[in-house]
Amino acid sequence: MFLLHPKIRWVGLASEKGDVIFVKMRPGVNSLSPEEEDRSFMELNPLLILGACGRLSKWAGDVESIAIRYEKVVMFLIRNNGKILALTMEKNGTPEGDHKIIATLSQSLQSMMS
Amino acid sequence: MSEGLVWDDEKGELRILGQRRVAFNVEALCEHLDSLVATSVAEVIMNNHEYRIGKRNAELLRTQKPEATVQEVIEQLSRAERQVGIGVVKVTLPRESTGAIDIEITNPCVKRTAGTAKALLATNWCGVLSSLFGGDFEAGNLTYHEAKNKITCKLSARRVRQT
Repeated sequence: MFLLHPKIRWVGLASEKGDVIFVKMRPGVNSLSPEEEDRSFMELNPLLILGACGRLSKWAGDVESIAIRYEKVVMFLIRNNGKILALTMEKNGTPEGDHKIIATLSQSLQSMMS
Repeated sequence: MSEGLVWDDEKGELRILGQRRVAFNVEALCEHLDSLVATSVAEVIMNNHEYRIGKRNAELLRTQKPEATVQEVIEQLSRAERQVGIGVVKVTLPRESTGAIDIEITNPCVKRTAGTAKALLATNWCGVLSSLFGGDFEAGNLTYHEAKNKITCKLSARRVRQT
């Protein structure tokens, strides 16, 4: 997963039932949050965010992905095939720069999760 | 946990098994949660909550009554469910240790069998059984029998893949 892009810092994968499959920090990179907190986050929070946005899916179509810009990192959530993947990346200067990376990653991640 | 239900009108306080509770419209809450996020997501939220509550209540009871048998713990928690207004709960343990555990709730407080309602009725018991027997349990085959005004479901051990 980390080979997809050098800016990926952290990756987590969970089922849509809230089972955390893994959370993993890129080797050599210092985590901003404790691993236990990351694991608790993965249990429900991405599902909640995706679920909240899914309220408009009836009209707008399925939620494919969500990008969240924190002050220090960018988080990207993607849902496919009954699983939810979350990753954080180093910021790439501007939101446009982040979106370019996300657009590049999105397709690869979707196919990896299928 | 002390016995019984105490309603103190003067203090505006309701206590069940020694714990302060609040009576509210649970069906409206379930419907609202189901509408805020997808039903499947709302079910996971309620599952997460109820599982912890069930586990905590069983652990608390075990701490307070270490001599109590599994059957006695289940009976006391069933009585508590009846007192909080969930319905009349009957838990039947299987003869073989690997079999599913049957739950029957007569006159259930919610009748729907998906979303938060499903989790509200069944998942508390998954947490209780997890505390009593170890491992992880999940509810399946949740069915509402309209003629009998009864919900039945089966709880069985589940495997969670984690690394």
